[in-house]
Amino acid sequence: MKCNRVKLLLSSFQDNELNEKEMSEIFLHLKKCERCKHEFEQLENLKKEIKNLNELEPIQNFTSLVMDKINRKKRFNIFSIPSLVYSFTFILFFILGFLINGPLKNNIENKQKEVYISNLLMQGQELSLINVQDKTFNILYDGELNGK
Amino acid sequence: MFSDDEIIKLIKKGKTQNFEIIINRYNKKILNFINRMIFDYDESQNISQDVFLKVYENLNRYKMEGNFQAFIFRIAKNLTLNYIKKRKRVIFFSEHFSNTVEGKYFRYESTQHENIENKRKEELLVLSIMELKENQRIALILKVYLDFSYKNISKITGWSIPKIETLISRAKKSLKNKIFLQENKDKNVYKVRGK
Repeated sequence: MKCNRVKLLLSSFQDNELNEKEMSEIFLHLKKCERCKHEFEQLENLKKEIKNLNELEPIQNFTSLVMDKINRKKRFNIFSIPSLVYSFTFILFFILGFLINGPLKNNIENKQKEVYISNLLMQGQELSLINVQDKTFNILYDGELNGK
Repeated sequence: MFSDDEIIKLIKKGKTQNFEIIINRYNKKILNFINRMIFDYDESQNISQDVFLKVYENLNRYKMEGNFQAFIFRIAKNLTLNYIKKRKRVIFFSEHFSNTVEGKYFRYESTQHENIENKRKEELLVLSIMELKENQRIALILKVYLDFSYKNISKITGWSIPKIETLISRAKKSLKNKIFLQENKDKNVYKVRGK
């Protein structure tokens, strides 16, 4: 194996990730070639230095801190409700809002008007219906009309 | 000793206290993986706690295929990358609107060195690692510090093995050039001063 090829594979050789044949070829090459050997030694030093970097210890109560957080989340876990339920609730409120402001509201108003008219009729008042638009009745007393 | 999958099975059945075993098994590795990615003691501690919370929340997604290690490191990698992105934005704004970026890119507490030369060497190595691209840094730390095989790294990152091979090889080359070039420069300076 030539130096160029060895240099290309040197990192994988160091990581023990080549097939058996390539591993032994590079191994033999390093025995003979000082330059490649030097390069490999630099890689080995680098590896050692990275491994020797300051190693941290987890804070003392790390495990209990995490477990506390988990237990707290479990207690107030409203977010575990699937998003489908959220969407459904939103749609439900939307439809209710629409009904209250639209048909339901009209319906209620119409009912109130019907009661009002029947009360007036029962009292024997004469009525005129004017301005019949969008099923909305503006009802005025006859007397009021004449007065104007 | 129970395997990871056996413990996860118990947790899924409701014996949540067993999650402590998982934490104790992985916390040091996760903490140091994160710290070697960002070199910030306090943030590494915070992110590693978030990793375990996220792992717990996503246990249902783990398919019990005997590669829990890949599952937990994938989450650690993702959370660390999210943090790096966020920090980059903060640094961008800090650098443009004020000159008070603490420690510039990191706050690293080096080991206690009696020798100043060794301390300088370690700082140079940390700075050089921080200057690597994130993908190179991830692959390098998983391989060199944690001794994971390329196959395992592939499971964690989702990258192909040739890509991992290239990332690690380039990372090593880049670090080697920076560190050994600097060392040679220093040697020459000492020689001149010696005269």
